[in-house]
Amino acid sequence: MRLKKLNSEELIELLEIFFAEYDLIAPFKVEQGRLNRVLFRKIRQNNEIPSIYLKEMPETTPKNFILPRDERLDFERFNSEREENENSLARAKTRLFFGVRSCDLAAIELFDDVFLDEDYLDPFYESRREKNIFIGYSNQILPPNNFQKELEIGYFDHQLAPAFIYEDLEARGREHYWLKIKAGYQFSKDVEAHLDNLETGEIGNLEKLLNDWEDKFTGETDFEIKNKLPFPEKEVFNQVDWQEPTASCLGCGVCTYYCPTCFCFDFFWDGSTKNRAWDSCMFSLFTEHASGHNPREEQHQRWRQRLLHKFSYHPQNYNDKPGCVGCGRCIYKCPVNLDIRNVINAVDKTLVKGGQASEER
Amino acid sequence: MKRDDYLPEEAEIIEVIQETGSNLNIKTFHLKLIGDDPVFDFKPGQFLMLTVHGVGEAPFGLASSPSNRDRIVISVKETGKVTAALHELTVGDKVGLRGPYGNSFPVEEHKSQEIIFISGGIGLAPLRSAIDYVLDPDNRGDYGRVQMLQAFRSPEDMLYDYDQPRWEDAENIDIKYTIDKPCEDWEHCVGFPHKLIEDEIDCIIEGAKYYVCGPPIMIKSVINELLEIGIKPKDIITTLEMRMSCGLGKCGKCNIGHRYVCKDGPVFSYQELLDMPEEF
Ligand SMILES: Cc1cc2nc3c(=O)[nH]c(=O)nc-3n(C[C@H](O)[C@H](O)[C@H](O)COP(=O)(O)OP(=O)(O)OC[C@H]3O[C@@H](n4cnc5c(N)ncnc54)[C@H](O)[C@@H]3O)c2cc1C
Ligand code: SF4
Ligand code: SF4
Ligand code: FES
Repeated sequence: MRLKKLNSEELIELLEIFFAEYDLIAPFKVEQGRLNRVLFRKIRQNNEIPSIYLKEMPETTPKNFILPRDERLDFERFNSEREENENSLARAKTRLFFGVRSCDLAAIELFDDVFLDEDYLDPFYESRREKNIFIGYSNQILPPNNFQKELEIGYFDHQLAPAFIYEDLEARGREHYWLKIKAGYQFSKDVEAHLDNLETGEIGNLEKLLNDWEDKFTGETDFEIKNKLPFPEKEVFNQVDWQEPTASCLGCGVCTYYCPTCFCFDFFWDGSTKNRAWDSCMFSLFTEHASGHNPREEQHQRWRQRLLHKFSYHPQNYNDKPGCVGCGRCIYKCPVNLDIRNVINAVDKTLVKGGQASEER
Repeated sequence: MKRDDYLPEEAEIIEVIQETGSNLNIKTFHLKLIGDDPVFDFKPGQFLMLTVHGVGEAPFGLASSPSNRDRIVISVKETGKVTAALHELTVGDKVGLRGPYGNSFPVEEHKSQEIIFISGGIGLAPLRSAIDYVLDPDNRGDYGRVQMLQAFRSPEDMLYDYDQPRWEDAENIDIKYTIDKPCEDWEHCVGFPHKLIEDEIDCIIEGAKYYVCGPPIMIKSVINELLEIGIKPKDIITTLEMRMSCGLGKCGKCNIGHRYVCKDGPVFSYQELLDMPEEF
């Protein structure tokens, strides 16, 4: 493991070298009238680098680049390149995603479980997933409504990221950014040459800093999932009152579109070209048959699907791993402030009650 | 590892059969793959995804015995966009297909058993793959007596009139037909299939398997009746339909609980359905 200390100028220099070497994708502040949005974007020119904005959790995640909102399934191009280049949509440069939160890295791992599965491999996903480097990020601000700790996702590291950057918003100079590079990982020559010139940090100091942040985060979150995952599907499906906690849902699908772990999709045709686009279980037409029959007629049934997919079905199919990473986006993006934690609480309460009832018997 | 890029293969329509009379809404299509490898291997009960170019894609149950390797047969009821466009096509037209997908009828497990097929309308299409498999001279000796109860709305809605004589002539078989309402010149049963099971079928409790396929309401009432008689949930086999996009357990459309109908189904025993949330 290597640890480097950087000030703001040094970080910009490092990013400039990344930009020369890789396709650099990083969070950006985008003005929308009076509102500012933080979104992942591809850097097009050097002078955009100072505008990279890390402090707040971005609204979007690398999902948009790996499983894009819509994509042409361009078989002809795909097949010819497959022959030439062993399955990859030939991309000249490696993509470097800079500033990715650990929960969002966990979401990419979940996508890998689904689309690079042992018994099925999605070649379009695979090609977009090739030649990517992720550099993680965290600071001492817990993203709003974040509950990743309850899902056992650490804040300060992830196996998909060979390097992680920590920003101490209270420090200036060389203590402002800490770059941790995992043992054995080597960037390209030019990047390495630049890293050699940076000051080395004391691991003990960083550890102390991260411990302080973690303590602070723990103090800020009181949400708890009382029952073990996966939730027992039939029991929860039938016994929980799904209407009450989800009554205000508009079925707009915003929660699923911002969710870094939602991957449901549909195909559509543009002339004779087949395309894939995100779909959402929150839409009424999602499961409607041609006959008009719909297994999920009501919005609360769709909410039940969304919650149970993440906390029962997905973990059952993928080694107990939840289908949610607790990023909190669906909570603050929802136009009616519907909070998934309240729905989980409703499940917990029902299961606890059921448990007590059976003990009494 | 299976690699599926959602790419349909080109197939040609080699025969179209108008199945139903007055409604004209069910057609059977015989297809042949055009590519270098024209063999389409599947098991009874599996389905394919058919693309009508420029319109869309939809799942259809394979309706022929897998032993017949030179043609792929599906029967399609016109209900919406894709099915309407498909009904417009004729011999020589090209479609796309991919698959086969899903699990299959447990015909291997059920060797040496008696099999009872109960169908409602186009539900006979997926059953046809199992019927023809069991009645195939190569396999016939592996199974006991075969009984069928085929239900249709009216005589006009009957399917596979060209198969019926062959099925009736098969060895050790008993076939009953029923329509919803009485009508002239109809010499068979009248009434919904669940009402006829007790009288028209020799219901074996041990050592018989019941394959039930049709619209959801028919499946439900038939299963209730079978349970009433004492048939065990594990001996009742059915297929489910859900809206589907991928056929591979990925797009998230077709799940019931943690199971995907496209991958873990479409064939389920009633025993399995009992363990699943009721959302179909
Ligand atoms: C495993 C399986 C086997 C089937 N076998 C047969 C068969 O042998 N014969 C037959 O006539 N029909 C069968 N169906 C139903 C058939 O797929 C639908 O009738 C067909 O998709 C309707 O498409 P449409 O475009 O005409 O209708 P539209 O209403 O225009 O549908 C638009 C889209 O919705 C989807 N869709 C709508 N209804 C269904 C549905 N019930 N199931 C799946 N997707 C749907 C399709 O993707 C379609 O592209 C089967 C369905 C499944 C799941
Ligand atoms: S964002 Fe909120 S209102 Fe919209 S579908 Fe999701 S829960 Fe419902
Ligand atoms: S469900 Fe909500 S909290 Fe969980 S990963 Fe999706 S957006 Fe984040
Ligand atoms: S059809 Fe896509 S998951 Fe079943």
